[in-house]
Amino acid sequence: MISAADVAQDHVPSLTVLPATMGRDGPDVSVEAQLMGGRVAIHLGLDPAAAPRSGDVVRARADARAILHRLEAWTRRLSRHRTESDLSRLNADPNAEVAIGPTLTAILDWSRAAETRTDGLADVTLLEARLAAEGLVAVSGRRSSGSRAWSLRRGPRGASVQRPAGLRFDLDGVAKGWLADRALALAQDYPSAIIDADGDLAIRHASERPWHFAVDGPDGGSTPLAVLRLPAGRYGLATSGTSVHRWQVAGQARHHLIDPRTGLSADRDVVQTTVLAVSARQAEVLAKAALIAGSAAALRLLERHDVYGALLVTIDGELLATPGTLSWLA
Amino acid sequence: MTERTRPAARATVTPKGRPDPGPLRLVAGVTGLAALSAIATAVIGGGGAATGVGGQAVAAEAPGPSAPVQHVTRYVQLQPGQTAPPQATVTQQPAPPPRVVVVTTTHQSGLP
Repeated sequence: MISAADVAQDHVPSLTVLPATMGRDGPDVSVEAQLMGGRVAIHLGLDPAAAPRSGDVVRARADARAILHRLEAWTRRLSRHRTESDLSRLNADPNAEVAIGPTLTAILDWSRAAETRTDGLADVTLLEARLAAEGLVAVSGRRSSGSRAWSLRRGPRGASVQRPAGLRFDLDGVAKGWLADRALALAQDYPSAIIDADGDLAIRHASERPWHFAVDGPDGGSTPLAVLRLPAGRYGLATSGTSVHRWQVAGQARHHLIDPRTGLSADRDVVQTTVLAVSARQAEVLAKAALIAGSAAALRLLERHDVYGALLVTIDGELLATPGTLSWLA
Repeated sequence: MTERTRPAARATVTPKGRPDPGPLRLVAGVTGLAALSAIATAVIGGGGAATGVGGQAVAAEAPGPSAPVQHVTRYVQLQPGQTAPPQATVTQQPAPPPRVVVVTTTHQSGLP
């Protein structure tokens, strides 16, 4: 998620370098910073068959910092909270056709694919409804036309967006996972890497021993909801929920996940969804779509070949899982 | 830019209901010292040497007017490179419970 906290961030995020302590149980080098409105961490793993040398560790830390700075640059272009971002310029432009750069083009391309893969539930044209849910504008309850309302026309560099006047975009819900996958591609020289985009993870590891990832519960307590055991491979792991970003407007509970069918905060029986999939961008959009869909429709939506498992927490505190999930639990 | 260090793992989950091997190793170590004491007593005392490994009880009576001191050695923990005496019963130390190190967590955005 790219949120208001980005506005307050310095262009050079404050970094924390974590020591190389995990070895075969995890990555060797970790660097983290405050970004995207939360904590972003880059974890790199060296060759698991060789003892890490100090020079390798120093180089890996420098590479991790470089990846973090690239993430920060992409975030600056895509945040709707930065007036100078490519997205803000698009949203503020009164013209029906607006030229955009390659990064915004790429994520809007993914947004169209995400909408198709989620039966229309991942929708980037819901900014007005989101602002209404936050009590910032009066409009609410307007159904979305989704990607039928806008199109991309390709150019030599980037593309142009054609959309009805006044249609504004919000990349919350599609950006974090997409950025995590993109950053993971920058770490291709490392046998293992994890991009942690404030809880949405792009994972690739080559260790002979499985790596373990905890799933926090809706209350974020110290006891994890589950621990997933992932052997060597490429994964995306993302969690979406309504128990953290939640507020009251005119006495009514609202949250940030908008149902495009109603234009209002989703009102279903799921408070948190975690999806383990082939990529972080898939996991992120499917986790949000499952929550908006409700438990019965979600379990059907998540029965896909590119989803390895999913955990859903209902408003009654019940924990639901897709059948394939059990084989990944530690 | 500020840099600092802290441990990488956010949480360590150890399966419940398994004993911590630390105290068991301590007991084994103390027992090993007792075995060495018994051997030393036998050698210094000149009595019939008796050593035992792997559950064989060994008794050595110290000379003197007072009540005899009896050292009983039930187990000796072999160190790396050591070999057990002939006819000793050797058992493998049970493997410690697998350690689960959580690399990181997935959570709703905005959680600390």
